[in-house]
Amino acid sequence: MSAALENLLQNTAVWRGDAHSRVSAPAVASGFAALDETLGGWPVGALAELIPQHEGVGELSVLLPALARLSREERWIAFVNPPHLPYAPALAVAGLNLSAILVVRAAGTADVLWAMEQALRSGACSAVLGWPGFVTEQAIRRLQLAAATGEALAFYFTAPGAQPRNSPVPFRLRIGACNGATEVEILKRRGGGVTAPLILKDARVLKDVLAVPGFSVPADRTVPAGRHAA
Amino acid sequence: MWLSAAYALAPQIDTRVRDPAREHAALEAAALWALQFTSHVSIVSPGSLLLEIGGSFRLFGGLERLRDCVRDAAAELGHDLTLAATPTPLGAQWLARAGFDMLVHERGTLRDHLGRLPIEVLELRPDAAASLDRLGVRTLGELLALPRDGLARRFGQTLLDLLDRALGRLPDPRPPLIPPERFRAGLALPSPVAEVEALLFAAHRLVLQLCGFLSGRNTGVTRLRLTLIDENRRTTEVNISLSIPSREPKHLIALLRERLTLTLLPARTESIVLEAPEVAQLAPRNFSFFPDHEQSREEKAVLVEKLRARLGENAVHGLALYPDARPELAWREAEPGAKPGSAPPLPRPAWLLARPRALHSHDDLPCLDGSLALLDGPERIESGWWDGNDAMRDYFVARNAHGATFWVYRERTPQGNWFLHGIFA
Repeated sequence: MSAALENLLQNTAVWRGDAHSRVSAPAVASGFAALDETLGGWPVGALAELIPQHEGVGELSVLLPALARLSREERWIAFVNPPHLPYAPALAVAGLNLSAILVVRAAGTADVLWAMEQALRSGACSAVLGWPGFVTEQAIRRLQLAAATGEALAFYFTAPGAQPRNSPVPFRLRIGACNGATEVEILKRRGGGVTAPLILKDARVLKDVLAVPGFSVPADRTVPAGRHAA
Repeated sequence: MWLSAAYALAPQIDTRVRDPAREHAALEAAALWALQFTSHVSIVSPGSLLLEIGGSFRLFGGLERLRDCVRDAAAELGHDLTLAATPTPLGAQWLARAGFDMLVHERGTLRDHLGRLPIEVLELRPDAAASLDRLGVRTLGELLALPRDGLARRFGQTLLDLLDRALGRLPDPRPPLIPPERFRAGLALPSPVAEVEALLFAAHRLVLQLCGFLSGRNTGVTRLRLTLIDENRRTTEVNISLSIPSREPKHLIALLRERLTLTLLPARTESIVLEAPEVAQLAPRNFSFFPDHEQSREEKAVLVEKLRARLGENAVHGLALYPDARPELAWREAEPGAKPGSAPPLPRPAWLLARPRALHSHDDLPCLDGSLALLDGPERIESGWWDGNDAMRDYFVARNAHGATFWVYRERTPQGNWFLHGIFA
């Protein structure tokens, strides 16, 4: 291979086709048929960047069915530096086993990334969710490596409305809302070939989540009688 | 040789005053460390340790393997050893003192091996040594070749008994070291230290000693204290508590590293002391083909400890439910892994704001990034009049034009202010 080509391939902006020909990487079913079909479930041991367009569009809800399943395992589900209090009653209603949840508060970006890396690398976590604020390319590589070592689901959330940046993260999803349903746009993934980003707009499937009380309420949701206080 | 003569021969030499007290302390520390190989360790001053390994070498996979284990572990501890193993304690002691690094498996060949040793290993009285020298006896072999009754006449029964003990003809019981209840070991640093890594380097040695001591007792440490003493005898303490007892040097060092980087270190630490104020029995572990429940429990605890060591004790918690109608009190921070309790299945947001945020209102509707449409509600919550934190609120699920969904409430007061309390993330 020529030096010039070698150089070009070092550039992170270049996607290599052979990296996308891999099939059947380990994954955890997301609980949404459309998402499972397109993405093959949430990837185990690979870092995913989640970009909520706004706060409150269901950016956490899309993960909850998978987390509910993982919380039955003898491993932690770590929330590192969440922007608000993870609300125990809501998580319990979503089917999460609360005794598997570990909430980690860290002050600066460096500590958040350190805690995420430790949690991922330890092998003691089935999933690690982090809100690091700003992530450098180097930090992404470290997290990716740690995720692969610890065989965990690894997600980090950007600030709401952030623009996707060019980075070596293998999965990038934008989460928005559309007519009251959560909308997931896959901006980057493995094994998908170099195709245009795919937009998931299966409101019916997403309604299954949204129908679970407590996450997001579609416009046509009927509230069972008796929930209202007098 | 005089010091001046030594300097004349080699001017570049570095001289130290020998400190027998510290030598003995180091030997005692090494004795505690050696308890991981056998429960029967005795100190032979100066400079030797006797380990009774007849009962334990099978466990380590043979004499050679055990020897390698001991040597590697000692090297890690910073000690260089001459190591001899024989069927009798005196034999091993003499061989090692004379610098013979060897294993003697059979009592039958012991006599030949010991025979090569110089007569000095016996540490005889000067007059006895001189008289043997006059006889032309230089080695133990030559001494053993002399007739026994003649030896007894000239040098007394004591010498014969000594030789018999070395050859295993007489029993030679050694009082074992009784380990102290609590581990405490100190180390004077060769030069004052201010950096974490240098401190850890020194602490590593003590941690290895501690771990040897712990494995001899099949315990793990649950509380660990490192005391730094500076030149003015001021002390700085670093305390670590563990939820699962451990005697894994790597883990303990990692915890110390995290804690030391957070500690304001004295400018010049001159000595350090490591103590284990609290130890606990380690749960016996089964060797299992399948992933071990016990092991994963341990891994989980190790992660929590590691995070807490750097971020602080309160920075890591679990979640539990609490029976209270007020949303902000319906959950508690709990020790990770604690039993969660149960909650009624109500529509609740995944995020709760630590403090409700006041919202503007427009046309009697709350506003957040534009005005909010109320999708669900009101859910009336009225509680807490008995403890002064009474809540009288009507909760609604609300959504703005971007599709972001919130949990808002209106205070049931004449002003009717709106607040944001949760986010359906």
